[in-house]
Amino acid sequence: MNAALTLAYPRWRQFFWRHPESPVLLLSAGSWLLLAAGAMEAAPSLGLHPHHVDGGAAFHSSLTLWSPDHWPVILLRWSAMITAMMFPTLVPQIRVLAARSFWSRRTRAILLFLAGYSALWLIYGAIAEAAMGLLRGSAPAMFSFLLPMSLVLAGLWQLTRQKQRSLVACHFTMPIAPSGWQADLDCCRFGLRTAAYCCVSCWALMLVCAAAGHAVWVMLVVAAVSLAERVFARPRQLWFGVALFLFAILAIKTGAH
Amino acid sequence: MPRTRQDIWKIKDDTLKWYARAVGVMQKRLVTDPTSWRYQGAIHGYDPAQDPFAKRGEKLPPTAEQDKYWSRCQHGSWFFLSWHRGYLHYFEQMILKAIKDLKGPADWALPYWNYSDPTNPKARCLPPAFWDPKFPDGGPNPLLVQERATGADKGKPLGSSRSADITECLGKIGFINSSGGAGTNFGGGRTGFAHRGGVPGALELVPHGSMHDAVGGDDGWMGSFETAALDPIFWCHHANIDRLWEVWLRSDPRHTNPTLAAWLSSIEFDFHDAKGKPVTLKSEQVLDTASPMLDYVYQDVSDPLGPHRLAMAASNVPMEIERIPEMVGATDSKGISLGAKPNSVEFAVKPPAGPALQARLLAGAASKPEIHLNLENVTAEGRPIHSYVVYVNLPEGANAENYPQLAAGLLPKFGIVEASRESKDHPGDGMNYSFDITQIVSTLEQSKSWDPKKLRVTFVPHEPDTKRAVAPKTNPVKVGRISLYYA
Repeated sequence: MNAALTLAYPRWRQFFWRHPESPVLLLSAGSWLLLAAGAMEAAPSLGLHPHHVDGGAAFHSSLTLWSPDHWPVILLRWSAMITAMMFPTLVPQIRVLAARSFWSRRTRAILLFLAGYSALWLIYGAIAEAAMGLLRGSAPAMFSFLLPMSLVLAGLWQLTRQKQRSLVACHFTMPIAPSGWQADLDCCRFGLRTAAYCCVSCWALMLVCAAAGHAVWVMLVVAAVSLAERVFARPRQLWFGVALFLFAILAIKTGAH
Repeated sequence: MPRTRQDIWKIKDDTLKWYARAVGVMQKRLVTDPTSWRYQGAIHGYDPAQDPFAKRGEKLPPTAEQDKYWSRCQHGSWFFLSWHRGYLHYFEQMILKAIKDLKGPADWALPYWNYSDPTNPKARCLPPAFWDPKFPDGGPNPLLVQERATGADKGKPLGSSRSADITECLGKIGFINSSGGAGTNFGGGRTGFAHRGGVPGALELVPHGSMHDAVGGDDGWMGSFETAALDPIFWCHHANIDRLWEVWLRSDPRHTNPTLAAWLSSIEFDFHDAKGKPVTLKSEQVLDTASPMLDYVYQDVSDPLGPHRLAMAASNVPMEIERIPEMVGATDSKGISLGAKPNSVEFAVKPPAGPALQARLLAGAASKPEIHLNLENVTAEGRPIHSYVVYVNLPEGANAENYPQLAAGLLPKFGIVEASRESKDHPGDGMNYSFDITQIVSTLEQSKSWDPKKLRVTFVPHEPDTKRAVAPKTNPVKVGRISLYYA
């Protein structure tokens, strides 16, 4: 029966019907462009604020004074980071959610899911930035080692069993009520629960991004790893590779000093 | 000349004797040896808590090796058939090597168990070779497993005729399930590497899952991912599933394998060869069983559906053009608990508002949509549990046996408990199933008893023909949500 659609509707429209995740991916691409264009660069960070972090160059950290006025911008930066890096990993959940919703509720369901998902990550981001700010104020000497420490932490976390379990748990799905407030609540709960597993899986990698001052190339590598380890047939070997990569950066950095 | 895999009920030579002797050889090897019986079983699934041979302090393969080779079986995935073909191939090579080492026949091939053979009244029984304590050389019998269903050790039929029914799976035209789980085809849904993936294909559901249940009974080895391959009949069961893939491909020119690179070559499977050396395999390498590498054919690949096929396969949707399914009704998200008695649930259905409506408008009001019933996030906390026959619009209080035309299909219990436990291999969100009920709805429409605004679904516990003396107390099965799709 749907064969008739093949003839009657433009391909782009059919594409969006078949791929309800595509607007989310476009949103992610837009966030990458924003991040790459340095639209957020004017914003100060509670942690490290790199003037430039590019391939091969040593991380140059200039400290900026913490101020509550900076929070909206910090949260905006984390929002862009989550949208750019994490939303592409949600394609399976978005497809399931769209398929399990009434046609008229598809967009609403996806938005509520993403809202729940982003909320938890933003809480994590706020805690991470606040902790970095506190560390900088109370122990500046230790703070200068934040990036190497976060790399070591991320490398070690990649090798743990808990990481493996939470990565598998990221594929979790749940029943969604078909309509009414219960459906809205279920979509938010689905987003929150997915974010909980993702936070456990990727908290350390995201900490590296924050510690590196949200450098775009670091975020690109972390995003590629996050995506690959969700679809890779032998994730454990990948984790070893990632760990080695992280330790390699650490070694380069240590050597440069 | 390729080796011939024979029907276990039609074997005239010593194929089963040599199988038993070789299994005995493998069973004596240490679990750290990739060619050992336990290692081969663990490739399908491994849980130390379920390992019947586990000993305190025993040495297992290193964790990294377990992660790479153990618990790798592909279920609920379009890799179900190709992965299991590779798995069987290397197992068969190990058995063949052991037979050759024992000076047995060099052309030995793994036999298959055709439990669906309508010409064989014993088709659903295990041959004596699998339960005679003195087979093959005066005992003990390496093919004998105590942990099987009632009657298995006495040559009684296992499961029911519904367990071995192949009309549904062989009647499917396409290989790949529709997206969103709304529509099951022969081979399974598109996934990445998927140890317990999404929605099973029709063959994986019945007879694959249902015959696992039939042999495993309430708590036997065949009923669990983690212990199934420890039962020697597992390999003959899967040889038959592999044979049915060949039967399906040959029975209709529209029956073809996926041609997408994502299926053919994107994923490499890890195994060991007959000498225990690591090897990798892709789906594209197992498409021709008579190739020099696989080197086997089946004794019988004729189409058991025969002349009924054309009438059944009315759909002419080309392969790999996915329909766009649209959810039109569902239960709430609290779930439905199923026990030892029939249970019914009713929910509202809305008219389609998306692609299904558009397609209907374009194709004319006389056109009929495909209608699919989905069971989402089906879970259970522990064995034993029931399998269920799912009925659509069964009248309240009616005896289900009098309404076979309203049966949507069998819901096997195989894998449900494992898929409900959060582990390093699974998120613990249960299994998902999809049944094509287009024909049932058409029947109801003809008898003017179809109400497009509501649907009633009834779950009736499925009992094997050979009843137990005392039925055990079963754990509930929870269906997360029931939903209806038009496509």
